Amino acid sequence: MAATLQADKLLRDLANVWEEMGKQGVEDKSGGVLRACAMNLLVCVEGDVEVGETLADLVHEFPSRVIVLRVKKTSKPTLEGRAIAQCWMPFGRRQQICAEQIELMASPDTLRDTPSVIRGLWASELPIVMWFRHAGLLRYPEFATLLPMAHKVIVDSRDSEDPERTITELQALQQKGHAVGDLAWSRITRWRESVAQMFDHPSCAAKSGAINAITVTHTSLSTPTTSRYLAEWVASSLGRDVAIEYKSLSQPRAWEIHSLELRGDGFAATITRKDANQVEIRWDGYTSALMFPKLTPSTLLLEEFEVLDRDPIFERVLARL
Amino acid sequence: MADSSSNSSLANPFEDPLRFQRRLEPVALVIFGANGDLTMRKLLPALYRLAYERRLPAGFAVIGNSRTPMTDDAFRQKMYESVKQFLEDSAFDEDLWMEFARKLHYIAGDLNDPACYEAIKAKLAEVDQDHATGGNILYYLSTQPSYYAPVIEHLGAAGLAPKSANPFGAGYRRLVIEKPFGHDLETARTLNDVVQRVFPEQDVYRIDHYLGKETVQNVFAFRFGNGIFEPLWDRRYVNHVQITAAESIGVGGRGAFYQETGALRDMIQGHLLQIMATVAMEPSAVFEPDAVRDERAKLLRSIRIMKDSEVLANAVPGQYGPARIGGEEIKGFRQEDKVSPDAQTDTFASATFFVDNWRWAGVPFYIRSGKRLPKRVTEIAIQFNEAPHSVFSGEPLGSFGGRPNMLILRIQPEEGISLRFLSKQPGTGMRLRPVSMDFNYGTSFGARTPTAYETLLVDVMAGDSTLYTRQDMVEASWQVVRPIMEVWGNTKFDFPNYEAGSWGPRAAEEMLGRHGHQWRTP
Ligand SMILES: NC(=O)c1ccc[n+]([C@@H]2O[C@H](COP(=O)([O-])OP(=O)(O)OC[C@H]3O[C@@H](n4cnc5c(N)ncnc54)[C@H](OP(=O)(O)O)[C@@H]3O)[C@@H](O)[C@H]2O)c1
Repeated sequence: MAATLQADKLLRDLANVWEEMGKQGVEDKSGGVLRACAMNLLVCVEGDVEVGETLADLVHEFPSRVIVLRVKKTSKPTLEGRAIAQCWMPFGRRQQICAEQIELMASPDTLRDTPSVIRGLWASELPIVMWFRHAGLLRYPEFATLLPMAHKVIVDSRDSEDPERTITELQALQQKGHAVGDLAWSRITRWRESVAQMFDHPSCAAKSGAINAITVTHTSLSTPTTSRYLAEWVASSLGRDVAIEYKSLSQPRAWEIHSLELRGDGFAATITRKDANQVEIRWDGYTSALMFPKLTPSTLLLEEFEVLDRDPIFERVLARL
Repeated sequence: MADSSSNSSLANPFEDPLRFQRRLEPVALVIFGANGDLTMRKLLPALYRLAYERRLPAGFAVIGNSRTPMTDDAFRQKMYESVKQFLEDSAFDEDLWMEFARKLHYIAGDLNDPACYEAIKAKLAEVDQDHATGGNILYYLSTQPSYYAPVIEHLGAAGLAPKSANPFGAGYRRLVIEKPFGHDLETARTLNDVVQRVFPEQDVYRIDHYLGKETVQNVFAFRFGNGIFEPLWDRRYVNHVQITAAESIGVGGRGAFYQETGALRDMIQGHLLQIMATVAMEPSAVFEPDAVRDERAKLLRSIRIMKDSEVLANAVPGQYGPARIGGEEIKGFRQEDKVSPDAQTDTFASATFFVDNWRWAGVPFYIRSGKRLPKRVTEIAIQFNEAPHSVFSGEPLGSFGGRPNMLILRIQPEEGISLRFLSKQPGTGMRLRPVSMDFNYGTSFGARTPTAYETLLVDVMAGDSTLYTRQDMVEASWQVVRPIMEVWGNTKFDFPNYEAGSWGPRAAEEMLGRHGHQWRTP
């Protein structure tokens, strides 16, 4: 028999989860739980890849109705779902806060049935964000009807098996008017912010007109999307043609971009990784150090959630890739 | 918000306002009173946390000053310990500390000694070179208030204030003053005369850390960002307003200081009138510092000044006596360390104010604040009028006296907003029950909220004075409390008049009772 799944049934399950937790709160006089929801988040993953830890961090900062859609090859057609709650006790409070999660599992041959279920599961009036944990899933035609509902579609071109193709797909979505995000872009925010900070200094700012060459050195053999984003961002911010060069350290490190160098007539500035959480900034004989916090999938996603509207600077750079 | 650094931001081709933190120009921060309580408990933890969030400018340095001789390293060690101890709701990172500590410097010297300012000037030149602070200087007066005027005068004499040419280039020189701004209207004016001789008003930032609290700022968002509340925000719909700032602790080791101050000066003049102004002011045309502050000042000037003969009926002081709370024997105020056994200090103050303008004519604003009350809570409660005609007239409405609608803006500790309204009780028949619709800051925005000092330090570095008080606001609030101070000062009260752990004196209840109202229990 063909596998079936109904949104109403899942929502009833969800209501039961809350009711149970409410009863428990009365019994143990804990005051129950606080149900929190500020967004809808659809997470599309492939196979058995774990996203639990990331989601726990995310909902803590940004309580959401999370719908995890797991696409998994199985011997027979599968379409299953269940509702659970993600709870945590905020520091110094007596009441737990809980966000809701609905987990769906589909096999490639039942995937076409999931959009109709998902459409019934959104919490109304709240923004919808779709995170394609595996960028390849974006290609499934089954998602075409869901994508227009999204306020933002997020991928990670760096983790994609085919970054070039993912970038092309992002560009296509962007051209259709979708707000898109790439975690490879959020990965370089600290680099970009350091450049901007350097040019806050009047004597450095006075020389930005002299820059005519950019070198990005990375640790991997091939040029990652992050390096390309960074170089193209510098060039597009300057608004004129500059020479871009990519170099490889060919030494694996805990970081991807190793240094950024800006050169011009009578001007040289570099930002170089010192270790996993520090960079050194040098320009005109002046040196300073800056902390680069450790990035996790959840910190990157949170940055994307902060920018739910279209992001003109990212779009400008994406279009140049 | 306006941002004086925005000129340089606009010029910066690498700016990304959607993703980057608000950009701040480089600056050297000079803290007077760097060995004191406020520096250790609030300022340094706030600065460290800003460094943690990469919100400090790249060119940044602190120069601390007080008398105790210390090397830079000894000062750093002392600050290390206090930051670790007082950092609120935040992780401590040793590597980051090392980088941050490099920027901390110390100059020992007496504030009465002109040589102290020369030493600070030499140090400023040094940090300008070493830390590229761009010629911008921020002076923070975290000393005893009696030093404010002399320090300002010395800064002027040493050529370190804006009225002389900047020895380090074209930077700004700003001054942050901690409250109290004077002890009464006259001393506030005298201090202001000194300030104005040396610093132009636009460079003076009078700090009121209550205005820096996230939820007080949220009052702006709530009132002026939404279309549905403002139409109800006037005498036709609002019955009265209650502002409560309660502390459960006593005066602790600060008895001597508190004896001279009291709740009326410390809290009502110092903070709560500003909060009342934020709740009741007219919307400004734009959200820019002077536009917002003009409206707040206008409101403060519209508060009706009590006649001496009206004071005792409209302003009730209190002082806590001993009590046993949760098995613990609690001392009364007069038994506290360094407090006189017949002190007339108000550890509780409450007052009824009226605003003489079209919006608020006739609406009482009740304000109370006290120590040793049952719990620590600050909130604003707006009581709306009853429905013009009750369809459910047969229904008992319990203790709400027929006025079920109340909006509560909770400032601390559980920041949020609640709206109370009536709902039909499940079952047959039309029985009504008050229910509460709650918005809780912590649950909707999981992110840590910045402390008031973090917000205010970033604002002053950005040149944004929206959340700072201005001299005319300070003077207006002293005008409001002046008759109360005078009448209370000439009256001998039968203190103590409330037990530690209670909600204050009975006379405060009676004050509301005369208007047919009662204090709510937060
Ligand atoms: N503490 C708070 O939480 C708080 C809250 C709101 C407002 N405030 C205001 O902030 C200001 C500072 O308060 P605070 O509690 O930090 O005061 P504090 O603990 O008394 O600190 C003042 C520091 O100034 C130094 N000092 C005293 N006389 C000096 C002199 N002649 N020359 C140079 N330095 C001198 C002292 O250090 P040395 O002995 O080393 O000289 C002392 O540690 C006050 O205006 C207060 O009203 C404080």
